[in-house]
Amino acid sequence: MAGKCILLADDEEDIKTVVSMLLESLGYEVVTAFDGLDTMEKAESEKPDLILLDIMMPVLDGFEVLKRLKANKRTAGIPILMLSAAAHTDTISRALSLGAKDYVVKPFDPEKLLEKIKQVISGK
Amino acid sequence: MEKVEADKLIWLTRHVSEIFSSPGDLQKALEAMVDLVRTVFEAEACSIMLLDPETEDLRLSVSTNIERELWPRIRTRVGEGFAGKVALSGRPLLVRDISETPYPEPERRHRYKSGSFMCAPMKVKGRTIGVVNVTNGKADEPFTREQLDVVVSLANLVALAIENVRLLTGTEMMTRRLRDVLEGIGDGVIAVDTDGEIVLHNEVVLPYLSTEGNRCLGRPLNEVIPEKLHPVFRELLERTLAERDHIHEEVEWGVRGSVNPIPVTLSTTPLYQDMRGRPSGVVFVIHDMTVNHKLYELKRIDEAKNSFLAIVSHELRTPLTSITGALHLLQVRMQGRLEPENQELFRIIEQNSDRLHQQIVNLLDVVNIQNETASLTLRHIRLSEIAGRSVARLREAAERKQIEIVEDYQSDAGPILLDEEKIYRAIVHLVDNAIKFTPRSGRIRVGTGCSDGEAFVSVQDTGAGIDPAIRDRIFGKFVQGESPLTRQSGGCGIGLFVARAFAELHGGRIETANLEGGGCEFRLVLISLNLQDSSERGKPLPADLPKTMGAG
Repeated sequence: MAGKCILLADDEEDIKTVVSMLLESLGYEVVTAFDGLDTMEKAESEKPDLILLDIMMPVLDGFEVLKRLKANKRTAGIPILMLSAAAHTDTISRALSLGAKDYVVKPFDPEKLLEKIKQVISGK
Repeated sequence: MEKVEADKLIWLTRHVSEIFSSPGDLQKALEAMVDLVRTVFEAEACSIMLLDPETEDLRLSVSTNIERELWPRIRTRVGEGFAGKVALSGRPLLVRDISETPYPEPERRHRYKSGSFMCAPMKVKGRTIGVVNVTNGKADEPFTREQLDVVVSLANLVALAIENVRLLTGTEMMTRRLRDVLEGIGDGVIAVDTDGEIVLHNEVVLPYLSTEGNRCLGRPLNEVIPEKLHPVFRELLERTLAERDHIHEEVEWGVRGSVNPIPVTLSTTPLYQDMRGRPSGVVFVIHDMTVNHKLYELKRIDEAKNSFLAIVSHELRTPLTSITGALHLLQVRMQGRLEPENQELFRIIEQNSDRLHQQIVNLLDVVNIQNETASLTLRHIRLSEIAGRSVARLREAAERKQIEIVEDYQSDAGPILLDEEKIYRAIVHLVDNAIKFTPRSGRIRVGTGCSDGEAFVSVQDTGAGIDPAIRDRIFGKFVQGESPLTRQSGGCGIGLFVARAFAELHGGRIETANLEGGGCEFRLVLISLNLQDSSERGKPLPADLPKTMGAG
């Protein structure tokens, strides 16, 4: 996983700490964003290989961010993996139809998350 | 004119007037008249022809000489023949000798004893609506001018009578139609004049009014509507008359016999007597808004519930994510370097986080089931596969009680269309329930099979049986079996509730039976769509397979 950069967007500090540690221990470089707007800016400036996107965030929620990322030529190609506590099938299908590659429900199984990240980042 | 003639004519006029001024069948009156005319004029025939406005024909309406059955068949175009020409010109015609005129054709001339003929237009308000024909007087006495004048007067009399009947019938029909519309619209309608007196109303409005004996026409509106509403009505009345426009207002109307006032909307329209000048009154339409309000309330409550649910779900899951995430990392970092006691502590954190997670999932399941917002995500999968996962998950819990779990999937029914996650949870609940109620060193058998075209998962235990009396109650949300074992087992009893609801979402059910030799069997039974035969794939699903997609 050398050199792969992941942008982690979540408004919860503890979750960011835990997930960052998890990813960094496997060799990923992690950049974090604390709200929707910050996510948009970092996506453009850091050009990550994957974005882990929460839905319930202030300023712009995950769906808004998803739409805008896909509408922006510079960021449309970055694969997005949703990571959210919202578990309803309608929410999941909405995210997938807006362009997310996959969806992981919190609380997540770390092994499963890592597996999905590997799949998405290598372009399954 | 001779006096005798004059007297006859006066007599005739009087009698015909009498015929038409008395009530009764118009057709009979016409027949009586033509008879009278024929008699008095000593004519061969008298008839009336009426103009059909759509076809511009004169049609024979009554005749003294022609058979009744033939009347509808005799027609003359306007402008043709004596009658047609009179109808066109509107001027009466007197023919002293038909042989002097081009009409009628020689073949028909032999029908006339003499050639004398009178034809008078029937006029009302300047319009000709038909003609009166009088044919052939006495052989040697052709009809006279004076006689024609009488026939003209009679013709106009008849015209007026016919026109009256038409207007009356038309009006009656219109009135009946308006009545039907007024009663059919379902809203209360009440119209008042500029003095506020009731001029019109329908039946629907009566329950809103306080009227004894239901008589309210002519009464002031204020006498029959609740006092609280007097100001509103007065204002609406004045504004509608002044602005000559529709006005809309929502009020609460207290009605006798109803505890709560009814929310209604009042709509007004100005009422016009003619096309010019000020309105002569106002129509009020009263529309009951109760159903609208109820629907609105329900929608609000529904939306509030759903957002509450989403928030609670998020608030419970998020901290749990941090706990399980941090725990995982700790375990990875401290692998191999943990003393047994610390390992045990980690295990406690892990398993209880897991329990917490399960409880959140369970509670959300229950709420979704109750709100009927649970949805199914279907795919083809074997019950044995799901059962295997469920057993794997609970093995450790069973081992702690030294309970052996035996699996038997030999008679599995093959891939079935179902919601994997929900059936997995349902089976977990059943096995968990079995572990709870089986004593130490007991045995649980989990198997899948097929019977009568239905696929099932069977969970058998060697624990306490189920008292048939409480069998249904254990599927309720917070009830446990009454055996002494319940004291030792914790947890609230929503597992079976959820399992049954998930089975029923698939059109299936859960069956229970006490086993010979002790113990209990729970069966999760599902519709079997056996798709091992590849020709079955792609076939449309049965119409009654529940696939309710959640409302969200």
